[in-house]
Amino acid sequence: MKQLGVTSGRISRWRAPTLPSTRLEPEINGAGRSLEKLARNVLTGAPRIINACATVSHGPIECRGYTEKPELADRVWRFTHDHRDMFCVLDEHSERTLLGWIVGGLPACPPSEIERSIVAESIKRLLDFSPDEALSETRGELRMRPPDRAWSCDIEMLSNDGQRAKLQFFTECAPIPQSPSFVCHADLRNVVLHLRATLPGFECALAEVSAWHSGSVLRFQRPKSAISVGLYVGRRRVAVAHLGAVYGERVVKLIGVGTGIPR
Amino acid sequence: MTGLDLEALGDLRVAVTALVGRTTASIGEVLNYAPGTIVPLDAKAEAPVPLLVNGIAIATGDLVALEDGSLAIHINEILQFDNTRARA
Repeated sequence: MKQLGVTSGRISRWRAPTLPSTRLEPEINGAGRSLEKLARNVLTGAPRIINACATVSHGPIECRGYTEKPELADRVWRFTHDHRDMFCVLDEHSERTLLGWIVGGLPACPPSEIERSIVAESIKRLLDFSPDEALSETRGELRMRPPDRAWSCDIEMLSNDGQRAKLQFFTECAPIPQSPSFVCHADLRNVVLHLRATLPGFECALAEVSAWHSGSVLRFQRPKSAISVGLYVGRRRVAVAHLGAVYGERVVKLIGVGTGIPR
Repeated sequence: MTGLDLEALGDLRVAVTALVGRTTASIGEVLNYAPGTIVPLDAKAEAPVPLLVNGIAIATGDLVALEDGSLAIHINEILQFDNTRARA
């Protein structure tokens, strides 16, 4: 990749490459999981309900709002799933494709009322609604749209001849309870620490150390039933323990944990 | 003017301790430590322990019990200094 451009013998200003923006994604909560459950249900039911649909897949659960494109007449259904308010959005192109699969031919443009009701019925079946359950389509000036901050999941249906239809599902993504700032904290639990077990030390004059030789004996602890050691991470003591052995390996058995334990 | 010699520093106080073993553990494991938890170390039960002076290994010795039951270290080797010796 060129990062320094030279134009007509002159040095041009280097511009920082545009990097993909990173967004802070909230952790998938109950609403997100409900949406995922719904997506799986639709995935299972779609090939059975729409015969021409050869493969179905769903995208990730993302926290993004609904963006309406003025040039496309999206149809939006509002319903309750898993006790949560949800929206299903079908764009104009996908509606025509879906309709073509269902009726087996090119639909009218724009679709007739009958064709629209056929699509609505199919959506109802995809969402596993019983025949007597109501699925309200939001229409007209008072139409409701998915919230700006919503969990979303796209379901893509593909026919054998390569036609695609997309269903978008949304449910409200509640503000993440976070304080004091909008920051996702790293999970540090897998970070490895290096621990040392040492005998409680003592101080002595350098001259004494200088006199050490093979055979010298240094008294460390007064008579006790067990030998106490400190377990340290860096200079911080995290536990005190008794020294022991298990199957010939040296071990410590913790007797006190925390940085405030007495020495 | 003469340079310093070890004798001139002989009354300096230094910290002496013995490293009985090391281990690694995740933060999650450490946070779960509780009284009674057994933590294996990287040494055999009878292995000599390094003696540290201000964090530097100076000698190794065996853990021994004195007649009165005190714990002591019987030095069996004075380590030769080299520049590559790691801080314990």
